[in-house]
Amino acid sequence: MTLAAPPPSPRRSLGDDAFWAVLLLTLMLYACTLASPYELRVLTLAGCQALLVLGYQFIFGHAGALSLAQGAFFGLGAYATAILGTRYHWGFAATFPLSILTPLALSAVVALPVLRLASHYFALATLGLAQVALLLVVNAGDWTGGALGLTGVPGIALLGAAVPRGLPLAAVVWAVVAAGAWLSWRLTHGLTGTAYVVLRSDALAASATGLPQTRLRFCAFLLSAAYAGAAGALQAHTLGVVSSETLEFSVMVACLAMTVIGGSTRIAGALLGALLLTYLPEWLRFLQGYALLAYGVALLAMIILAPEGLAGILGRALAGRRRAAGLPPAAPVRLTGSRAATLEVRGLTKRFGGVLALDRVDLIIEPGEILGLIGPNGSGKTTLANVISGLVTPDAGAMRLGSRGLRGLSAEKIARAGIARGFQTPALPPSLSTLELVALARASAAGRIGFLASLLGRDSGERRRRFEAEALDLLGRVGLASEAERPCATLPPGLAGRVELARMLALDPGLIILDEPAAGLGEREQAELGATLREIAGRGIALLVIEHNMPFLLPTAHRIVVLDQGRVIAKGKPAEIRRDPAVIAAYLGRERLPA
Amino acid sequence: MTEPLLALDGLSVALRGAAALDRISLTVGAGEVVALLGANGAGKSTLLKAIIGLLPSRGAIQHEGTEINRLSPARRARRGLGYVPEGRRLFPGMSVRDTLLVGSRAGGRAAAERLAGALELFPDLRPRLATPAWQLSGGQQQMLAIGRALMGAPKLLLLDEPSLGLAPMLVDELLERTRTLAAEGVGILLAEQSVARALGVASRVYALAHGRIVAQGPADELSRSPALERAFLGADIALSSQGLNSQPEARR
Repeated sequence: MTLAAPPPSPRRSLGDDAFWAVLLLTLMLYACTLASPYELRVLTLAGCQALLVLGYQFIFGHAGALSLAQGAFFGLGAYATAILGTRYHWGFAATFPLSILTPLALSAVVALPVLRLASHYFALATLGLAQVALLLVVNAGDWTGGALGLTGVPGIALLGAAVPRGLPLAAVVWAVVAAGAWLSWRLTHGLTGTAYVVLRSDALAASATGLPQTRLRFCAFLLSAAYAGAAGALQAHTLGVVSSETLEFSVMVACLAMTVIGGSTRIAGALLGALLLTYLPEWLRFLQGYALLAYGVALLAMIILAPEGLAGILGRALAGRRRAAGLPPAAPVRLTGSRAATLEVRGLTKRFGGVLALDRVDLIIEPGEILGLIGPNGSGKTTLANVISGLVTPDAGAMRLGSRGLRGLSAEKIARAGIARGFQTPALPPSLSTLELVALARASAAGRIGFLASLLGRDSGERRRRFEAEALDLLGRVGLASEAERPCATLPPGLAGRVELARMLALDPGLIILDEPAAGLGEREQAELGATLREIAGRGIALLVIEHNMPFLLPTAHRIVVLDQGRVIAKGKPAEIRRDPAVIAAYLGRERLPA
Repeated sequence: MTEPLLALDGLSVALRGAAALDRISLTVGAGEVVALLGANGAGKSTLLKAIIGLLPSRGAIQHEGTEINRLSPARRARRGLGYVPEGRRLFPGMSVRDTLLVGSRAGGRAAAERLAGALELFPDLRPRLATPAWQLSGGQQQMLAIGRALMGAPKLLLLDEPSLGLAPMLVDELLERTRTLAAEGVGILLAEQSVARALGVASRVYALAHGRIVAQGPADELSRSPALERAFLGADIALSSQGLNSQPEARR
């Protein structure tokens, strides 16, 4: 099949210098020469919203979780500033950090129970959190001023000097926005940003890539709360008043609309969305009674015409001007099998309802060994693989890798112990190129995925190029060097399996579990896959291969274990297995096998 | 001469601007098993998707002499085209029984008879009639996908690698059943990677490479044909022959 060459993947960069230069100059020119005090106030408030949206992009855009608590975090930041400023007369230097810390601490506390929830339950839980925050503020009138709120919030003072309202305040707020934008770019432009693409596309793909999913989601939630707190504090200073309105759901709806219309992952999207939605009501004011209607129609039109947001349109317009990054030369990866150890499974039992899926299964796989696992459909092969890789908890039995007990460990921890798992239907994120995916796995194995690593620049620039160079080497070993820039979505099933294999090798595993790797391959490709697996085993890596394809498996595997109804009914060398009457009766039937 | 059950004439499919299928012409007669061979990415699945209507195509698709290329996939299914897709495509929360009954699009006696027939072919499914599809093992899901297509009592059956994930004994039974169906007058178009398996069951074979038909003919003749060999060796992407130690080419 001839396919068009995929478009070169544009590196996300702070670049597109022309765009930023134009945006900045326009804003500055407008602020310095054109804006009235009222307009300056609108511009300042737009800055607060931009900061709020920049934060919301972490949880909604990058982590892909619909949080409805962003408005509440914003309100908490505003109230922290107002209460500390009006009642205790604390200065900006103390109130601003505390306004960030308050929602941050709250998000850290609720994150543990809430982040486990699946999509709409997460949305509901965060909505509940927002409602509780609103009720508390309205009812704790002694502190918060109740429904009336607090007035007389002091302005910002920097280094002992008060920042006057108007142009100076607008400049300070937008400087904080710029700092927030820079931090956001720093955190997401490297492979950690790519990790979030995988995280929100497919949880299975994320775990197979070795990503620390819980931590990534947790950090995104905390960052969104911190940005919201900063935004709330700045708005409190700008307006001088804080009321329960800052906590109401309309703040959340506006934030969501700005994020969707601007673009949910790009920094330009946060700025454009916040500016547009703050100014649109101003521009539509001449319509008087119809202004709200026109506002609604305009939003609807934008979502229909530009579902990927303003930043998406901009990205497409500028795409032609971006330099394609090009591929680095491949850097050889030494597959040492250094983490290889004997996997020992004893008396493993798993029951699903009344069905005994695994019945006291014993199994040993030595380093460098290919163990074939066969058996009739539904005999428990995939369940056994799921138990070993931690996706299913066994009812009884022991599992050890070397001296380390595996039972009770999470799938993430088992993966980090060196067990890599492939699936019957390869779990690949559709939008990433094969190179990006394997490089990501490589960075993940090196512990370079996370906000700390990205803050230190360990997942971008030259370091990223190194991971890509290694990924290219691994892709070459499975015959995919020429497909490095191809998006995973366009791969036929046979090639998708090879990408999965390259990704597993990238994790430097001691044991690889494959579930029907030869499915969908032609005879020649099967022979090549067999040779590749033998070479991987030659490096000391152990392989557990589930397969129905006997012409492929018999010459590939060193030993074979046969499961039937959850029990091991035979084990031995391939030549013994194919003659075993019990195996022939339960499984092989009259298939003619190569000699 | 009667109209063939299915006749394609100059069928082309473009994916992302590139030709994925290039002027494919083929026929499947009633009671005939026809195999589509080809390496990974040759266009077998694309062709089946175009015939059932899941991908837009140019060219003629005639079913019993009627042009159906303008019909929706649902209308094509109602005309008697059955399809077992690549990757099973089951409804995860739906029970085995409901999945099968949905496939029948009929009620009463007819549905009950077909249900019995599907369970006879796949006795593994019988104790799991109330089980939701996602709880089945991979092979059982494949059985269910095939059973669902058979429930529609199709006149023409499009099978995309139906043996994927099935234990060897079951593959034998499935191919046997394919022959029985054909003997009952059903036309079958079978996409298959395994040449030996396809040649064992099909009476005629078309070999695809890069979206074109590169060889065709009766199965017993084609099995000795060098053209068939070439179709597979023409595969673009091969596992690196140099092995793990080598330094692969960085780019083509």
